[in-house]
Amino acid sequence: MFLFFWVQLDRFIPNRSAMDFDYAQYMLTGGGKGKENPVSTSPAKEQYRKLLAETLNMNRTRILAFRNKPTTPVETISQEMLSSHVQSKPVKPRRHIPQTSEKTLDAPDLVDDYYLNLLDWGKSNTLAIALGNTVYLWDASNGSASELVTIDHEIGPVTSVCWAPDGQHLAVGLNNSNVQLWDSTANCQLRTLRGAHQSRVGSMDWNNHILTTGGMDGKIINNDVRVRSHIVETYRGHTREVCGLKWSASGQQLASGGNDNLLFIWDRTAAFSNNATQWLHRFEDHTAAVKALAWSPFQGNLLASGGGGGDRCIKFWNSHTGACLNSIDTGSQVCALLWNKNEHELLSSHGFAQNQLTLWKYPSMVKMAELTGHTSRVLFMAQSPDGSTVASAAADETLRFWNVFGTGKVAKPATKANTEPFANFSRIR
Amino acid sequence: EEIKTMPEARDRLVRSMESTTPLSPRRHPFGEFTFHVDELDRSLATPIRWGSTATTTTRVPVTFSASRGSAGPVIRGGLRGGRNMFISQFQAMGRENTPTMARRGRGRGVRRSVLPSWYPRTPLRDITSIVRAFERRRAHLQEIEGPEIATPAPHNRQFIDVSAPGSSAHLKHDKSMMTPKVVKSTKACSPLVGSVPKILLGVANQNAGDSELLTPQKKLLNSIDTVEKEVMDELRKLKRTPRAKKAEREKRVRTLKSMR
Repeated sequence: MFLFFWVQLDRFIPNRSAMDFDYAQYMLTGGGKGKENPVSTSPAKEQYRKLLAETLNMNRTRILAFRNKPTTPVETISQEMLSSHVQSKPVKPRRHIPQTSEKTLDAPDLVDDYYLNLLDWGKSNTLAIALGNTVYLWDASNGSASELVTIDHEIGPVTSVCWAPDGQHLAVGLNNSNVQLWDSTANCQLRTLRGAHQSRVGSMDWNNHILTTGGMDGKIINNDVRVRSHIVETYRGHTREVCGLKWSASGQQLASGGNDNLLFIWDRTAAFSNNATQWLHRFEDHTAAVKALAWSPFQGNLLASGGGGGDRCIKFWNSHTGACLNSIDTGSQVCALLWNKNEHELLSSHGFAQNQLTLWKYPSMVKMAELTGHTSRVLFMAQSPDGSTVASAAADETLRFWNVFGTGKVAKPATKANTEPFANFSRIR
Repeated sequence: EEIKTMPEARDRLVRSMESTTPLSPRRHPFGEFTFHVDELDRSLATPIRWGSTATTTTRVPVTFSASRGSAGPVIRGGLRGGRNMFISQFQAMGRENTPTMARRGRGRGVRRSVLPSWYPRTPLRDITSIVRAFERRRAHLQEIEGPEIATPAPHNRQFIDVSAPGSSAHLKHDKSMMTPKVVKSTKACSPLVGSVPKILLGVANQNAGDSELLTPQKKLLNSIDTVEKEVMDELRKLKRTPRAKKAEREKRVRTLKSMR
């Protein structure tokens, strides 16, 4: 037999025993007002701060209590947190980004030339890399390497490699201006595209059956690989070597960057005059060669471009309106750019002096991670088909793999309900 | 009257052409569209070998798994004087390539790779553990520049228990990664490549019984030095074997014959 201690309370007279005096003191002395400089907090940090406040029961508005002391709110708040996904965006637990490379492969004779594109990762999970005169294939699923072709040193070295969308065929651009097309599964050459360029082919990109090639002669040519007479279109605009070439995801727009510091956007529906296709946009904002180009997977008309040693900037463009959305000075030569397919993040690779890979949060452009390891400029980057791993090849003759992008699967907080660190905050040891 | 005929001109030697693989049909179908295949290209792609028979193996010291089989019609440059030949010819020019880079090449001064000069280079071989070891060595050497930190004895022993099995396991793992990729048919550098993992393992086993007074970093440095010494010795030994001498003589004979 036990007694219920029933207290008749007044709604105008507060109950002292039900008050939390620590919290009252805190609120009365100006707590809860953000002391941090609001400019420097990123949206992620804001969200984290709010969640922390909620968990620790610090977002109460009332100090005076008129009823009985409330039951310890710890468990209920945890439950509330789990079910409050409807209102706010669920805050994903910050993923751990390994600061060192997971694997390093030897890459002897990798040509140390900024303007080439010697690395590509195909849809069949095979990496193609050109080391000097030889193209090697590396099967990422079992780690086995093989030689695809060694070309004659008179027509070499290899200046660009690019996988076709089917992941089976590989285009190999050469120093003598030819482009060879290879079937990697049958290990045989299908054809050679000749006569398109007058000098080396340093950049290439596929758009279905069209192989677009960019040459040191400044020309960009669309080659239809299905027909004998393969040159179907020529884009003239660059006056120096075309080192960056990327089709948008829709295949409607082509971005090209050159050693003339220019960035062009070409549209497939553009007008055709004077035996050449007119460009849609011409950007001369960069003050050095533009090689790094990457279209955002989340926004079809958002393009990121990176400048060479004299520019060192990453710029963002709206390819429809032609507006420059943002420009960031990174402090070193930008060699390559890759977007994260799972998060709003951008990865850039750099040269002197740190030779690092920088992961940026988009659009805040806050540095999330800086991956070091290469001892020379990181010239080339490629992304795995599942979007989790990035391969980087540098002038230090190594090929490194980084698990920087994560798997894209979010660990649900529900599974961690019992082990959440703040669940037992009343029992701080 | 005897008519003296001139001996046949020697610069009209017939060179053997390697037989081409059977030509596939003009159209190479895949997926949604078909490639146009050049017949002309295939005949031009026939490799022309200089003074060597079809059975001669290539001089490229490449060792990796043969899962893909041999490449198709492959053009190999004749009498390649080492893989660095093209680098000296190919000048990396342009503002983004600094002048020092254009003149750079192995054997001309600054070496680009983190691997030491005596380490056998194989395209796409996994060198993760080796690079890490050298990074640690470099970091340790940089530490030495600063004040020496005397490590207390019990702390030392703790380290050794943890790292000693770890380092040997590391090297063992390294060996298991290397051996499947060694192909027996290649000549020249392959005997050395095959013995490097054995040397590493031998050194690792040696170090397992060392005294506890050495820090793990010093042990690693010692092992690196030992490995370097052993590999150089192995190299010299290989050069002196009768088989190597024979191979060298054959190479010289071939060179002379081609100059006729």
